[in-house]
Amino acid sequence: MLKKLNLILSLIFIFFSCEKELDINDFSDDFSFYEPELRIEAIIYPSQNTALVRIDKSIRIDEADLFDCIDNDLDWNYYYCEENNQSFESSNQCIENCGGGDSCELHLYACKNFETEDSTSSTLFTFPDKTSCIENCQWSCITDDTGTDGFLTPEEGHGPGFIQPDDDGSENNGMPDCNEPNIDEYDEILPNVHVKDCEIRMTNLGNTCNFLYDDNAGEFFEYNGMKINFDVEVISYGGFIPDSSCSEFNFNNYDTEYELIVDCSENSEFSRYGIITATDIIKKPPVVFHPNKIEDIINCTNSEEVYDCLLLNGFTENDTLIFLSDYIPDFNEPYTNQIITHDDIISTLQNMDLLDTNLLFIGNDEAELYFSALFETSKFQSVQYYWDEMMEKFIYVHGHPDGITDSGENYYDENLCILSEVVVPEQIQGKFRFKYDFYTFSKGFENYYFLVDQLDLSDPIRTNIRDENGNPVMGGFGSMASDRINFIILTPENIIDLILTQN
Amino acid sequence: MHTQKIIFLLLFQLSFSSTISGYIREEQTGEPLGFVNIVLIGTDTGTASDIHGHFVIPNVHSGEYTLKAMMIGYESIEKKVIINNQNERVNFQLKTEALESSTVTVSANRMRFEKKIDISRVNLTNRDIRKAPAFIEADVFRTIQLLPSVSASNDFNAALIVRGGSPDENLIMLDGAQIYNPYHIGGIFSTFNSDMIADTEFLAGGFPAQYGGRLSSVLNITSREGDSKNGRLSNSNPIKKYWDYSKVRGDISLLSSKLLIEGPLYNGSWMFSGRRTYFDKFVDLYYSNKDDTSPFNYYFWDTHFKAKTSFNNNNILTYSQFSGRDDLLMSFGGDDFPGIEFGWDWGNATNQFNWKFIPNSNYFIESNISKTEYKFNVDFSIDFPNSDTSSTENETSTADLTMNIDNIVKDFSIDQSLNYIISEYFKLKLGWESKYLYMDYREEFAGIERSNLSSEPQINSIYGSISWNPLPMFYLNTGLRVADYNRYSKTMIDPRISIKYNPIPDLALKASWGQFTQYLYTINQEEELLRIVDFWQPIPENKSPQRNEHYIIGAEYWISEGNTFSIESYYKPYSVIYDLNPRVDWLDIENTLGIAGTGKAHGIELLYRLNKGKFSGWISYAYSKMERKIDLNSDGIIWEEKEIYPAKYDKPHSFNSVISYNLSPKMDIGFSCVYGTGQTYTPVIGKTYQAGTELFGSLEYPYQYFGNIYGSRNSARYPQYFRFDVSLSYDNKIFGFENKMKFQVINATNYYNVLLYNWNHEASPSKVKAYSMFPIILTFGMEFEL
Repeated sequence: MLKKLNLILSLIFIFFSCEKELDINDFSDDFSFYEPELRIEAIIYPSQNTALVRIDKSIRIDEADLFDCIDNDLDWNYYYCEENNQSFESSNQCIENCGGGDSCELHLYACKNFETEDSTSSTLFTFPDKTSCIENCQWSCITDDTGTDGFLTPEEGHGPGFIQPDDDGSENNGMPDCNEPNIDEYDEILPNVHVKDCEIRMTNLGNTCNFLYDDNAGEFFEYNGMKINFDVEVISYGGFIPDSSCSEFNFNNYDTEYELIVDCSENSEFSRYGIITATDIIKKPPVVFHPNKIEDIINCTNSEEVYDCLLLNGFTENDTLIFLSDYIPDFNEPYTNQIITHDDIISTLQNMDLLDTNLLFIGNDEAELYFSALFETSKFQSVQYYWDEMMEKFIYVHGHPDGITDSGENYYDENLCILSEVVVPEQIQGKFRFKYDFYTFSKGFENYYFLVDQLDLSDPIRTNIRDENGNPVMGGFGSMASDRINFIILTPENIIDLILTQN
Repeated sequence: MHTQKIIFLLLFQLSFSSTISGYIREEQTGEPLGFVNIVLIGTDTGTASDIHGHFVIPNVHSGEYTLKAMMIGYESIEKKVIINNQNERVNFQLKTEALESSTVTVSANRMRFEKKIDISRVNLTNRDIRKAPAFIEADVFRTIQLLPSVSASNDFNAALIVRGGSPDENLIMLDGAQIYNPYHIGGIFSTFNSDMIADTEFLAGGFPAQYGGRLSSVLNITSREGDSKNGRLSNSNPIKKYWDYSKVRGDISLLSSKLLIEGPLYNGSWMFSGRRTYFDKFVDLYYSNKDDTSPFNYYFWDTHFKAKTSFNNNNILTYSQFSGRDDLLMSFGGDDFPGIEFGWDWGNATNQFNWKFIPNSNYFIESNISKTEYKFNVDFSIDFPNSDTSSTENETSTADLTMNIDNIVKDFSIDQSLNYIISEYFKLKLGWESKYLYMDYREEFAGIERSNLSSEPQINSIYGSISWNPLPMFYLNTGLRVADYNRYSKTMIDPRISIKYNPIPDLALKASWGQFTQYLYTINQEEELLRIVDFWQPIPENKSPQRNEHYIIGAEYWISEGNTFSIESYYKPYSVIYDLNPRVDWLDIENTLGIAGTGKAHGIELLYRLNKGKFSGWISYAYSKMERKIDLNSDGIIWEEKEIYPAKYDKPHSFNSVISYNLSPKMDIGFSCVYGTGQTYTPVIGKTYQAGTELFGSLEYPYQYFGNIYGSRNSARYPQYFRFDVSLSYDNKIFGFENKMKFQVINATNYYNVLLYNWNHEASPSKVKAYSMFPIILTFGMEFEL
C-alpha cells in the first residue's frame, strides 16, 4: 500500500516534469545481450478439476515486427455492403456476406446507441464520414480512426480539454494507424507471443495427463474506454489444456504432489532449456459461509476434521445473498403511500427467477462476504464478476490479492482462518447480479503471484520451474482452488417495482 | 611513580588555580556569539566560545590579566581581570565594526583549525544558508547537499545522502530534539525555516560519543535566541520588564510568506517564526471564480517559538517549540467516473526544555527534556456512481471503498551532560540519555484493518569522552557510548577515537575511527523517487541493530583566513544493515519488514573553502562508492547479479561549487554549480506479458500489459547531472522600510537532468521516454524588516 501511495505522488510529480522521447539504441549496452526466454504459467484449478498451461516467450526490446501498425485481421472500422444495405464489423464478415466483397465499402463512422449496447450487424448503422453520420445519427457517432494517440477528439465543448487532434494528421485520415483501436489488438499479437510447439504433461499419484495446444484455451475481458461503462470485450488466448487422456486424471487430489514436465526442444529458439520440470502440492479451496454461521465456523477449530466441518457450514452453490443498496431514493409519486413490509420483500424475491433456493437476506450494514480456509494457507485472491445478460456470462469486474496478517483476529487455534470481503452495496450501471470467487494458492503459485512486485520473474524463489540444468525458468506451477458466492444488489425502488408488478 | 607525580601535579594545579568563564554576546541584539576567540594577553592561554556564547578558561593563576575577545567583523574588546584564587565571571558584548581592522590576529576559525579535531565537520550559519542559491527560498538541506560528503537523489528530494548512507542514517536535531520526518512538499523542502537558524553543525562521520543512534551523520540545528535588546515598549510600560518586542521581519515569495518576530524577555529573549504556503489560496480563488470546488489543494505551515531566561547568573532556562504540518487534498470524479477523495496530512511537533547550570567554575551541566511527535495520516476513498439518475440530495455520503494509513512516532527523551574543563589541555564530558519511543503504524482497507504494528522501543545510553592535548601539536578525542536497547539482549558498545597532528602550523592531519549503532530504520523503498515521508520502524526484536564503523583519514591546509583546503578519505563497513524485505511474512510483519545484510562505502572528498576579497564560498569534489550485499529473496544463497549491488545512493563523482560575489555594498550575486555522476537504476533488458496484480488486477487478466524484464540490480546509470543556479539580492528601501529583493534562476542552462525512464512496450521496437527534474525556473521574492 505504501508503494501505491508513493506511486500516486510520483505520478503527480512526473506530470509536472518535462518528458522527452529517447532513441532506444542509447540503451543497447543494457539489452543487446538479451535472448528471448520462456515464461510458463501452469495452473491447476482443482475446483473445476482441470488445468491450463500458458507458455509464452519474452520479447527483445528492439524487436521490430510484433506491433506492426497494420490491421492484419481486417477489422479496423466498418464495412458496408451496398448489395444488401448491411454493415459489418470486419472486412472478412462483409466479404462472406456480400457476394465476394467487391461492393464492400470502408465506413469510418458508426451510429451507436450506448444504452441498448446492441451492436449486431442488423442494427449497425455506418457511414463513410463524420458529417453524414452526424446528420443521420440520433445517438453517438463513433470511429476507430482516432489517430495515433488512440483518443477521438470530441466535439467542441465536450470531453477533456487535453484531447486534441493528432499533430501528425492521423486522426480522421481514413487510414489505420498505430495505436488506433483494432490495430495491433490482442488477436493479432498473442499468436506471435504464444509458444505452441511444446510437449506438456502432468503427473500425480502415478497417473499422467498430456496436454495439447488450443487456440482458445482461455479467455479474459478487456474493457474499452472507462471500465465503469462496462464496454467489455472477451478476448481468447492460446494455451495448453488437458487432452482426452486426462478423463481419468484428477486435478483435485489435495495435499498430494503434482509434477509438470515441459519439453520445448522442438522449438529451436528454446531447445536450450531441455526438459523443464516443476513440482507442487495443491491445497484445498476456501469455504464461503453466511455471517450468521461464523460461530459454527469458528467452532470447527475443535473438530477432528476441520475442513469437513467448514464444508458442512458453508454455502451451497445455489445460495444467493441479497444486499439492499445504500442508495436512499426520493419517495414520491407513485410510491408515497406504499407500505412495504419485510415479508413483502421476502415473498417477492422468492418469486423471482433469479433465486433458486435458500433466500438469504442481509442489510447493507453488514455488506461483507465471508470465507474461511485451513490455516495451511494464508494468502488468497478475491475476484468480483457481474452477470451480463447479453453475453449470458459472468464478466470480470475487479480482483486483488488478499490475506491474513499478524493482527491475530483472522485465525483461530492456528488451524483455521477467516476473511471477509467488503461489498459495495450499490448497483453499477444497472448491473445488479454479481459473484465473487475466492482462491487459495499452492506454494508454487503463491510465490509467483504474491511476489510480483518484489522479486524478478526469474528469481529462484518466485518461480518453482527449472530447466534441465536446474536454472530458474520464468513463471510458476501450482494450484488456484476456488469457492464462489453469488449475490444480488437491489435498490428499494427495485423491490417496490417488483412488488407492484407482483400485485 | 611517574603517573602518581602527574596526578599530584594535576591536583595541585587544580587546587591553586581559578577559572574565568562568561558569555559573549552581540551588543546590538544581545544574541550569543559563538566561536569568538578569547585570550589572556601575555600568556598562551585562550579558548573559543561555544555556539551559546559561553566560554571557560580554567587554571588561571592568581594575578592581573587582560582578557581579550576577538571576532572578525566585530570590534575587539579587552577587559582587566584580577584573579585572586577565586573564579571570575566576565561577560563581553561585541559591537560590529564597519571596517575590518587588523587587530584580530587569531581568528576563531584559526583557533578551531589549530585546537579542534573537527573531522568531517562543517558549521553553517544562517548567513551561509541564505547566500546560497535556492529553489524559491533558502533551505538548510539544499545547502548541505552542496557539501562534498552529501548528495541528493534528485531535485524533488531533499533527503540527505551522506557518504553513501541512506537518509534514515542521519540524526537530525533541532535544539536538541530529534526530528523524524524533516520534509515539506514530498521532500522538495526541509522542514526548517532558515530565518530561525543560528547555527547548523553538520558531522558527516566520526561523530563524538555524545551522539548515538545513527550510522552516518549528525545534523544539529540550533535556533536563534532572538533580540534581547531594542525593546519598543515605552519605559513606562509595566510589562516591559517581563516582555517586549524589538523586530519584525518578513519574507514574501511566490510560494510562501514568512514572519519572524523577536524581542526581550525577563533576563532573556524570545523569538517566534512562522511560515505558510499559499498555493491553496490561489487554487481556491481560481475555482471560486468558476463557481466550482477546488479539486486539488496543498499547503504547509510551520512555526517555531523559543524563549530563554536566566533566574540568576548560574541558571539558564530555555524552552523551544516547533510545529510543522503539511496538508494535501485531492478530490475528483463525478458523473460516470468514481468520486475519489484523497486526504493526506503529516507533520512534526517538538517541545524541548533545557536547563543549563553554569556555576562560576570550570564545569557546567546541561539537562534536556524533549518530546517529539510525528504524525502521518492518509485517507483515501472512492465512491462509485449510482446508476439511478434520480439520486441526488438524499444520497448517503458513505464512501464505497476506503483506505486509511496512520503512522505515529512519539519520542520522549531525557538527557544530561556534564562538561568538565579540567585544564586547557584536558576536557571531560560525561552524559546519559534515556529515550522512550512509541511507534504505531496502521493500515485499514475497506474498513478492515490490514496492518497494525505497534511497539515501544527504549534506548538507554551512557557516554563519556575526553579531549586531550598531550603534546603541543597533538590532539586526541576519545569516547565510549554504551547503550541498552530493550528489544535486543546484548549491550551495544561504541568506542570512538579521533586524533589530530599538526606537523607544521598550517597543516593538520586527522584520523578517526568509531563504531556506530542504529536502533530504528525506515521502511521506505530504496527506489522511491520522492522522500515524501519516512516510515520509521524499530529493529525487529532479538535482531541485531544496524552497525557500522567509520575509518576516516584527512588533512587540512590553512592557506589564509577563510581559505582552507581539506582532503578526507573514508571507509565505512556495515556489519549489519537493513533493507526492505521483499518477502514479508504477513503473519509476522513487524519482524520481517526488514532484512539484514552487509554493506560497505568508501570515498574521498576534497574541499576548498575560499574567502578572497569579494568572493566567498567553496569548491568541492567527491568520489564515493556504496555497495550492499543482502540475501533479498532469503534463499540462503547470495545471487551476485541481484543481491550484491551498488546502492541507489552510489554516486562516484560529484563536483560542487558555491560562490557568492559582493557586487556592491547593497548587492550580492551567488552561483552554485553541481555536476555529478547519474544515479544508478536497474535496466530493462526485455519484456513479457504479465498479469496486472499491482492496481487491483487479478490473474484473470494474464495479458494485461507488457511488463519489464530487469537486468542486474542498479547496474545502469542515468546521464550525468548538471545544474547551475544563480541568485541576485539587492538591499532596497521602500517607503522608509528596508527590504531585500531576491531573484533566482534555477537550472539556468536548462540542462535536461533525467529523473526516470518510462518504457512503452506496446510498440515495436519499444519506446522509452525520459522525465526530467527541474527545468529552468525563475523565482523572486522580497524580505522586509519593520
